[in-house]
Amino acid sequence: MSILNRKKKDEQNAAPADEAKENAPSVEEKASAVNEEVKQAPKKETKGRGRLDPLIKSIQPRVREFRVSMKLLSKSFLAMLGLIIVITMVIIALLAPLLAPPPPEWRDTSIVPKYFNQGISPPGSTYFDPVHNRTVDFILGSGEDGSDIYYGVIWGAQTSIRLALVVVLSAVVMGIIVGAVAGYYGGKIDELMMRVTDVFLSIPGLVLAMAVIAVLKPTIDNIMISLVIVWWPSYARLIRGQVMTIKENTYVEAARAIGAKKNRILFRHIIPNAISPMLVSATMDIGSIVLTTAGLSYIGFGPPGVAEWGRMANEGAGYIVGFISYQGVSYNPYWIIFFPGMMIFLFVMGFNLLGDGLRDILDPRLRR
Amino acid sequence: MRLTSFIIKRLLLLIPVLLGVSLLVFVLMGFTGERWTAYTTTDHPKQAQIWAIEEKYHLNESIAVQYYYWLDGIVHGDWGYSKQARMPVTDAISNKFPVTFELALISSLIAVIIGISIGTLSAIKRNKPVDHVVRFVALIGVSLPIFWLALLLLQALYLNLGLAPSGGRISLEFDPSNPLATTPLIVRTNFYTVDSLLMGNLQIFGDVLWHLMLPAICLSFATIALLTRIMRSSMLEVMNLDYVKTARAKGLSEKVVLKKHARRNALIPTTTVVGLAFAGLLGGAVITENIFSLNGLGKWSTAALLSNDQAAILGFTMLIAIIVVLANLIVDIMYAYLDPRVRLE
Repeated sequence: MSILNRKKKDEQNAAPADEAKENAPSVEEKASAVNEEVKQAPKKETKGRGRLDPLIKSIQPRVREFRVSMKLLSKSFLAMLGLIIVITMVIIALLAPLLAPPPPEWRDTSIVPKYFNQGISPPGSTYFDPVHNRTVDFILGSGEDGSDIYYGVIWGAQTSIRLALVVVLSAVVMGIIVGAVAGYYGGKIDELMMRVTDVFLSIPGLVLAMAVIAVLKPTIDNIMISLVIVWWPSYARLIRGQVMTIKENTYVEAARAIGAKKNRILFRHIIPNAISPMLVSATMDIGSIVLTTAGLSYIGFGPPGVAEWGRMANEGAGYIVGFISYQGVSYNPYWIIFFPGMMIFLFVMGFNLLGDGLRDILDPRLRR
Repeated sequence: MRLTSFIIKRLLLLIPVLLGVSLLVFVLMGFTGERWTAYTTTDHPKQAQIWAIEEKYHLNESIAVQYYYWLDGIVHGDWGYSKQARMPVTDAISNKFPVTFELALISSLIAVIIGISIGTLSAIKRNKPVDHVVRFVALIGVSLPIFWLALLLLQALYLNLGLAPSGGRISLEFDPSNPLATTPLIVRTNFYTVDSLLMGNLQIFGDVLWHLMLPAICLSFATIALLTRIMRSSMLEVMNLDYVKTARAKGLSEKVVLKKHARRNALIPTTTVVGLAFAGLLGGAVITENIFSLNGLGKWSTAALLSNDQAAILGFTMLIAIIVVLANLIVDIMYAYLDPRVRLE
């Protein structure tokens, strides 16, 4: 009800269309603009005419859209579950120094601490470190060379989120540049660029990433580079298709008719409208990127020692069908692969659920 | 007539793509080490041998000339020597390809049967509990790390229950490479399923299938999830179309409407996904083959990459690219054949 009312009100004092289009914000601005709008909200009532007014008016529909989307999202149980998992992962990543404090002498927090004398031990075991005169608790057990699984599981969230965000953002930016140029200008540029993406797409992602890492060294940064190389072509394709559809729209024609320059049309009118479908695939790709990274590190392309879930699981692979002996009791060391694997699964699941939910609410046929 | 010209056109379009792939791989490999390593058969060749190789393969000339002669070798079947497999790359490929192909084929079969049936079921029972369960399980399927699933299955079925083998393609008593084997398999095609049937020995055939079971299940898991989702969405789309309504209106039974009218047409987009997924499985068997110690392309390529075996990396990447590109072409042709509305441009 309230949404409908607001909609009517907005329609009444909507800014002239031209003005609104001229000020259509770029995506980067959109997020901050949303905040601004919230701050500015009370002013609307007092009819204050600031310099920001045209901007506020132009983003009002977007804000309304955002609110409707959030409302729809909150109705879907699975999407909310995904959102909760994602938020939990972010919190784990941010609070990693509190949840799993590194030893005081530890310099690089992304490396999992090892206690060589401990070896593999089951969850709940403890170890007295004679060098630093303190007791270490292995809440989730220890892996090869006494590496702390709990520490790796917690700090792995940070590694994964950082890696996935960097890869997705870089791939999206590269995809937008290539795809928009190809789709907008068409002709020979388009043909050339699409053949280049064909080349990249005809090698399976895992194989291409493996080859790139084999050339570079297996570090987190190089894994990121290899994954950007794998992922950008699909975004370029997606954006190209979007741009080709959007450039036929009347409002683009209108902009051209009033004499807007080509670049302005592309960056102000076409790209902002082509981006929303990428939101869904970017969300789901965060999951797939973490999954691919885990696969890569599992088969031996992982950064040595780093808190990365796939690499940690790799440590346990050799023991999974055998037994180890700890303090005279024999154990099957499932914990070395179980906990890191569980984290990968939850992480990917969270982003997939959220992406699925986003797709449903962004699909105009399914909403309202 | 139009189909042939379409195929010819598409085949011609493959040339720049394959050239691009080869250039990409060639440049990448240039960073990993000296190019002559792709042609030596010994680990530590003498300087004179290296010079001879460089002379023979024109490696002491400019990069463009090197690329030309390398490409010439590829076309004429000289793909270099894989130190990892201890044989020429072409031999290694023909030796290992059947292993991966067999695995990919069986897992796609599993995926197609299960994926299409539960995808259809889920669409028919839309928004009923069955649908929710199927969708949720499909989501789990695409989110599970393959290696994790494989290791947990190994632990449960091999270690705890003893129902599955720990890995490999065949039990020791039938293994052709085991000199003590009681009834060794006679290898003709290196497709062990085919070879065991050619021998007429059903016991060995069962043993081979038993060894394929776990890897195939693991490999098919993600594909099942993918196919279920595609099948469900295309079925839902088709079920709202007019001709399905017409079929219902003229009084056909629900079974006939769903089977003959809806599902047949919903299968069209699914077919394309199956084709691409199969090509993906050939390249994606990397993790599964490593875990179940199957000596296929995936395991070979991993070992090659980790030990910087240039010729093998080049060969493997080229081969996979050719397969994917051809799969794309076949899928396009099939699509045009299945759906007459698609115009061949």
